[in-house]
Formats: sequence, structure tokens, C-alpha cells
Amino acid sequence: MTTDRPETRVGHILYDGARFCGRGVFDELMSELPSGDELAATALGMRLDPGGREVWQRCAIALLSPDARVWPLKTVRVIASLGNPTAAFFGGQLVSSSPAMGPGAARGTAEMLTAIAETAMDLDDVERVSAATLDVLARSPRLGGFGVPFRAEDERMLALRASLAGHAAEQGRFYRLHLKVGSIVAAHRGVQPNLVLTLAALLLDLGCAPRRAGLAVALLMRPSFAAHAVEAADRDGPLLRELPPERLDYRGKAPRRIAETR
Amino acid sequence: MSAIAAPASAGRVGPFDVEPWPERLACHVVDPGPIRRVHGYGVSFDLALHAGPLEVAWLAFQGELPGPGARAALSTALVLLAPIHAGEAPAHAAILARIAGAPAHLLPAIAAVALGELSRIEHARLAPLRRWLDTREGPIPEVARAIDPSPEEERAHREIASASARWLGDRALPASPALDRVALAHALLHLLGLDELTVHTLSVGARLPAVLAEARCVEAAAVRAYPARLPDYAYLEDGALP
Repeated sequence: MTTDRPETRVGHILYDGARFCGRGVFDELMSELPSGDELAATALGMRLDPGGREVWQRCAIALLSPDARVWPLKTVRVIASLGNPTAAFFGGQLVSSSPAMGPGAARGTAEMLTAIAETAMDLDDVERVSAATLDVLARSPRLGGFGVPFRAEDERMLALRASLAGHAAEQGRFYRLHLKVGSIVAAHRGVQPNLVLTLAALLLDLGCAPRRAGLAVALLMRPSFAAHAVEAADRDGPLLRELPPERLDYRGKAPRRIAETR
Repeated sequence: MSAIAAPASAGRVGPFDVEPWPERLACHVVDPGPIRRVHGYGVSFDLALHAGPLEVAWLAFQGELPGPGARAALSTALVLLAPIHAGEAPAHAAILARIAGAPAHLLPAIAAVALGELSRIEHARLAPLRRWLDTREGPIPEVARAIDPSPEEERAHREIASASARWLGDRALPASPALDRVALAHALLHLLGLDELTVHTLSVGARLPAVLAEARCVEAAAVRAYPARLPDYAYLEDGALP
């Protein structure tokens, strides 16, 4: 092992205090009272100005899809039915690593938008953006940030975009790009953009590195996961710890003996 | 499937309230009835008496009990994967979790997260080996070869390759060059026709005992026994963020 000391900019415990990302915890931060959201953004390497904090908050609200029947949240409830909300909160969050939805999709979507931007270079040139987008489409059978099941448009995306009307975020480089990309993909593949595309664009404009977009979305979604974890830990034991036989449909093999099959 | 009319809250409905969903959860592997069966075989009076845990694992994934060759190849592969030493991330994480006071029943879960990530990295690294095993064209990829194998490692590889001919017939491993231990295990798993989920599951399961046994060797809250400066992080305040 090298004798060089690896660097960390996260923090340090002192005998008489602590430091977090360059700030004193019990003096500076306790005095300034940054919100939990600001601290989360700082942890991801982002500095939020007042406009950025507002965007972050709007993203968190748009992500509140707290229905107990949403599959990652249902996963949380099933685990929580065993009584431990902490285990359920973190176990359910691991579902978010999936590239198919939510935080996992956010990383891929952010990387896609970044790739399109780097290829097109001039994001006001519609032809260049279109060519770059189609190039990505050709190489990607599955795109993050697209697909709206059960309804024509993603109401969360529409609400988030509407809430940003007149906000400086609308002039963000990736925000403007994502509108174009959404239209191009919808026209060529017949699939509508979803909230993840807008989130990825906003996070990139806030300075989030594409590889961290997934964790950023996971942090933004924690209220929904926490709420289901605590409620289900208190109440869902009788419901979910073991489903009753009448709610199960066994489709496997019929009874048999080893002696018969060997 | 039938449309389940759920009570609407003040007239507000969404897809979960209106779309047709199945009414029951499908079970395919374990019969949920009063007599537990795995793919039809009774657990208490049949599998427990005539099969081992490895065979039951294979049965769960593959639907049938393994033949002698598959059983031997699988056993060899999982033993090859088993040793994870304390300095490797999954065991190190488990040790730290134990020191930090993680409850015993959650230590396997914590270790499994790290083991799953290790399995992901190994699976990706050995993709060229799997392609080679399917085509047998050209040389065995360098990424799978043992680096400066000892005579014992070379002999072990030859013996396992020789045995693989009995287990797998014409899909046997070549006698040389020697593969590294993990690559050899993954080669056997691939030749057994196991899919990615099965490989990750069995890999994690094979490694949990050694990892958690290592964690058990430290006492909970024994912070003084852990090398806190390994590595010796240097905290910087240079205006940059993590």
C-alpha cells in the first residue's frame, strides 16, 4: 500500500468539534442553519445558490409519489412488515439502483444528456441536437427518462415544468436541451418523456456530476421511503409478513418424490 | 385478471385504483401449502433426507435436481469462490459493521450488499471468458489467466479441468493455461448454463460464511482493535467539495 494519504473533503472529527465539507459544524453550520437539502447537495459536490435550492426543493416535491402500491415503496413496506423501519428504508432503497426506474434511471439519463450535449456542442442548433439525439437512440435500445405507463403524459413532469415557469432554471443549458430531446425522441420512437428526464436535466444544471445523479434522486426521494417504512413497521405485520393462502397462486410443479425422478 | 375497484378518496383516482391488476401473487418455486415443497419435492420428508443444500439451491433455480456431474462442478465452483479475506471489501465492511454494532441478523445483509457488488465487478470482468467458452476461438483471454501461477495452482487447475471432462463432457475446460481461482469458478458456472442472477446469488451465498466468520472474530464495539488509520485519510479544506 502506498504511504501517500488518500484525500477526503467530507469531514473530520476533532476533540472540540467537527468539520464538514470545509465548514465548522457546531459553529458555522449551526449558525447558518443550511437545510437538509443543502447539506445533501453539498455531500454530492454541489453548491446551491438560492435559485438552486428552490429547484432542488421543487424536484423533491415532484418526486413525492408516495402511493403504497408503487413497487419500490411496496418493497419497503414488505420488509418493514417484519418490524424494523431502518432495515426496510435501506433495503427498499437498493431497488433504486435499477436502471429501469427512479434513481438508477437518473444516472443513465444524465449520462445520455451529457453525451448528446458533447456531441451536438451547439445546443441551440436544432439539427445538431437532433442528429446527436438520433445517434444516441440508434445505440440505445432502452432509454432512461422515457416511458409513461398507464397515462398519456407524466403529470409529475408537467407539474415540475409548470412550477418553474419564469424561473432562471428554464434557461439552464441542460433544461433547454431536455425539452428538445424529449420532443425528438417522442417523434421518432413514439415514447413520451417522464419526470426522470427533467430531473436529470435540472440536476446537471445544478452542477451534479452525471454519475451522481442516481444518488441525488435517491436522496430527494427519502421522505417517501421513510414514511412507508415507519408506517408499515407499525401496521403491516399482519398484512405482509406472510400473505394468506387465498392470495397466493401456486403455478409450480406437482408433488413428486426423489425416488421417482432418479 | 379483473378490475379491482378500490375505494376512491374524495373522488380522486389513479392508475392503481382503476387499472386491472392480478388478485393473487404467483408462486413458482415453493409450494405455499401446509407441506412445503420445492418444485414439487417435499422438504421435510424428501429433500431434507435425500438432498443437500447445494442440490436444493440448484433445484430452486433450475427446476430439477442436479445430476452427479452438475453437482460436482457446482460444488467445486462455489468452494473456489468461498475465500474472501478480511482485507477484501465485503469482509472488511462486515468487520466494520460488527465493530459499529450492527445487529447480528443484519450483518449478512450488509455483507451481501458488498458481495453483490464484488460479484457484479467479477461478472463484468470475465465477460471475455464467457464469450471464449461459447466459441473456443482464439486464445483464452488474458483477463481470466492466473498471474504467475505456482506449481500447486497449475496442478490444481489441471485436476479440475480433468474432472470437468467427467462432469461436463465435451464442454470441459482446457488443461492450460491455468485460470485464476475466480475465473475458474465462473467458467464452471457458465459451462453449467447458469444465468446471471443465479451466478450472483450462488456467489454471494458461497462467500457469506467466510465473510461473516471473519466479522465474528471481532467483538462488537471493539473500536480500539480496529486500525482506524487504514487508510490514513487526509482531510482537506481547499474550497473543493467531495
